[in-house]
Amino acid sequence: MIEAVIAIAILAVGLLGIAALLAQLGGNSTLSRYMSTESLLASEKLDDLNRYPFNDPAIAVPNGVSAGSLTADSTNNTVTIGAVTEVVDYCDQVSISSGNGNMSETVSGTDANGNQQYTTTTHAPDGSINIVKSAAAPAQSSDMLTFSRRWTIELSPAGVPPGVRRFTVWVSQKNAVKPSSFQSSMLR
Amino acid sequence: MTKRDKKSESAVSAEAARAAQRRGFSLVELMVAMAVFMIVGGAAVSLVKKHVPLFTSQQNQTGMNISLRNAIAQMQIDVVNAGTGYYQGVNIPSWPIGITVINSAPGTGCFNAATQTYGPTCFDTLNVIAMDQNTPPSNPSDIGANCVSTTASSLFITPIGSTTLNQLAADFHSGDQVLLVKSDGSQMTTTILTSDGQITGGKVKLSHNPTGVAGVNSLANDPIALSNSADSNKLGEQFCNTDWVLKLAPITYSVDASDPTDPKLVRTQSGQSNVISEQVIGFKVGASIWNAATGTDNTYSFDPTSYNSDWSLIRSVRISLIGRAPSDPANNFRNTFDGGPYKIESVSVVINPRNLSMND
Repeated sequence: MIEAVIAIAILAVGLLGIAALLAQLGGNSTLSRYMSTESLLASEKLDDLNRYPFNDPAIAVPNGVSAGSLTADSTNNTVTIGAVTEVVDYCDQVSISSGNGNMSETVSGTDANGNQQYTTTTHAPDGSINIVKSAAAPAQSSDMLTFSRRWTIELSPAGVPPGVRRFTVWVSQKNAVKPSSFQSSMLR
Repeated sequence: MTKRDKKSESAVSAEAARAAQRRGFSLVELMVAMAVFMIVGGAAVSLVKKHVPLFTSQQNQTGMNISLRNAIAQMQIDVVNAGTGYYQGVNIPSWPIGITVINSAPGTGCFNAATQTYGPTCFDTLNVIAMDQNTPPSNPSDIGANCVSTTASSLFITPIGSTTLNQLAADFHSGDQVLLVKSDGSQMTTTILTSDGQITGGKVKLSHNPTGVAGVNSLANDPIALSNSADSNKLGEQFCNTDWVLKLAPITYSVDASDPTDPKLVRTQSGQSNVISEQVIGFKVGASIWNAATGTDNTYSFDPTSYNSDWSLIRSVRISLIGRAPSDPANNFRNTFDGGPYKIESVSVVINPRNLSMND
């Protein structure tokens, strides 16, 4: 009887291990999906930063200096280039939701006056697509995933030729049970 | 009791102990052990059985994710280079049109919720204007003292540099689309050839579909929509011997919904189509339009009439792609997008063609 109990105990421990492994596999698969989204959002932001003319306040930065931060949200920075002064954010948030029969993506930012603005692009199954700008964030829904993006802009950082800008974007899912982040850089 | 009797008694009890050891489990013990083993084993089998569809679902999702990411990556490579390849080294003006978009008008024929099928009106078409790098540029040939008009059905071209008439004529075939550009880049139009290039009187004759007045074409005569609207102020019909004739090799991204149960994202160039993603249920392309007055580009537009189809104003495009995994009707899961028994995934990306914003 004792031998049987021991055998069953060993078997139970093994089965519990398999169960834990399966659960972890599922979690990792979800995590990799989130990281895939993070990498896309990072490459999208890098491409977005790359389109600005070199003297645009959005990417202007003095030699050897870094603008923005990867560790904290950097907002409402007043940047003046010549006669142009703009309020620049070095971070935003992207919320993705497929609720209510639509696929929605909301990107936070600021308008020309420096006011908070949320741009929501809604894609419906019937092929229609709408873009709405509002001052208020969209209501949180159970299926909504929100990602934080932060970026830095460096001009002539150490190790790269003079005059070259380096954009670095960091993306992380907000309020995640299992946090993940993705970071990517581009030279221009 | 004698000594011999004592020895005999101990031998009997030892023998009994050995017999008890050899006896093993009783029937009751065996049944209890088997019952416990079956319960634990059943739980294990049940666990694995429940995980199999989950595993399959995750595999399908991963496949969909990879497929969408590959499609987006391919589009990024093509779109980011839009507007390049206008024969560097030859004195052809920088022509700031790299992209045209054909936005579908969503209608009732798009999505059928009962069958979860998608029709062609759900999807947009994206064209990346590119030149055929194997065909050298050439000049239109004046007719007497007059420039050629594309409203006629033929035009004559002359080769430049070391290109011979034979080589030039051999590069043009029926069905090819050519672009005509003024030498200062002020005007253009396009037309489709109706026969192969022919050498006539020291020139190459190109027979083509005549354009309308001012170089405007119907969508049938210009499937990439480069010259469908007269509003762009970039179209013209008169081209002279200092202007240019270029053979187009546009890249087109569209969704083939001929099988509404499996719409496919297709990349087409030079008549060759490749499916780059299956089960695509959303493909929309918005264009960010440059506003010279404010020095900014605006919110993405999904209606070219809002910017008079002036493709030279496009500064970036926003591509929204939605895919779905294989359906599993036996599963109770229903997605919240279109209510289908499958997982969906959306990828949207903003792409900025490099040389369409350099002079802003």
